[in-house]
Amino acid sequence: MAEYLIQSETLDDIADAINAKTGGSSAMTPAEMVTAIGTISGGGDNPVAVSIGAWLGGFAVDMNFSDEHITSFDLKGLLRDKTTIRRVYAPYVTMFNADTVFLGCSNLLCMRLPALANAQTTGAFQSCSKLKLVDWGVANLIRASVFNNNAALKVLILRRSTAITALQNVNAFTGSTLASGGSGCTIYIPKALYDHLGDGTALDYKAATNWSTIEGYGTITWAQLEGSIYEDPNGNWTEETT
Amino acid sequence: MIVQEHFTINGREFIRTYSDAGRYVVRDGISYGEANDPAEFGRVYTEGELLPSEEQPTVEDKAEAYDILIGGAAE
Repeated sequence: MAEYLIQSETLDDIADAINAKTGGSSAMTPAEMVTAIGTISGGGDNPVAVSIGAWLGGFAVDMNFSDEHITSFDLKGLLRDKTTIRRVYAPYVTMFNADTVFLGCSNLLCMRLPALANAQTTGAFQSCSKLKLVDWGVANLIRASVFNNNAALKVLILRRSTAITALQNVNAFTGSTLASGGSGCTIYIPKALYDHLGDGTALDYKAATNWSTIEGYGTITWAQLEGSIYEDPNGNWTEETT
Repeated sequence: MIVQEHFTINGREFIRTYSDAGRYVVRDGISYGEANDPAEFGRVYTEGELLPSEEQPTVEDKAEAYDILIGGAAE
């Protein structure tokens, strides 16, 4: 990863992108790029500028992808091990189709993907040791290793209401708060499914494949999404409000 | 071949189902790398597609991602 970050062509292109935003034309050192990104008007809301900042490192970053054109996470490892990323909010992302995108982002606290529908990712948040809250949207699936070693995970939001979000493998939660012996996590689900808990039907998470095993560990607290602070997918909440 | 193993958690019996050929196990159109179910449900699985190996990003993958970011910045 390090060799990729210091390629001169890469840095040249980043400098060009910054100059395009600022109207400048000067050469920059990487440290000057970080400063320049901070001066970009509206940079805090510009996902590209923020992404570049996170890429370069050097300051804590909340990544806000509130752009209707950003509908998929297919970054394929580009953000791996970026310890400056703290929070990600991507309200238009419906597809997560690359593996280990945020692997090793050890200061990541909060991941909000309320519109996520197609989650074809494995290991997405592997070893994000401080990750406390994840909004997994209406995704139909949690694939292998997605929450591996998420030892701080306290809130998981599953908004799918027509069927259970399938758990493809119990190893999705290995080393997390939901694993055997883990400290526990609250999972928020819609009332349409909450009302089926324990009835043994196809809509019962407690009886569902792989979820039933975790239920057996006693590490899940089920909660109803409606009426909770997380009901509004775009509400003003973060991991700090849990 | 489908393999099933019994195990218990807190006194409750479960069945672990997996493929010894490295394939998904499939039920009701959903593919699982490994399926763990309460034994009383008697769920039946068939073998599906091969499980993917853990993929690591290639240089080409990184270049593509980089183009996405920088391409957006130049707009």
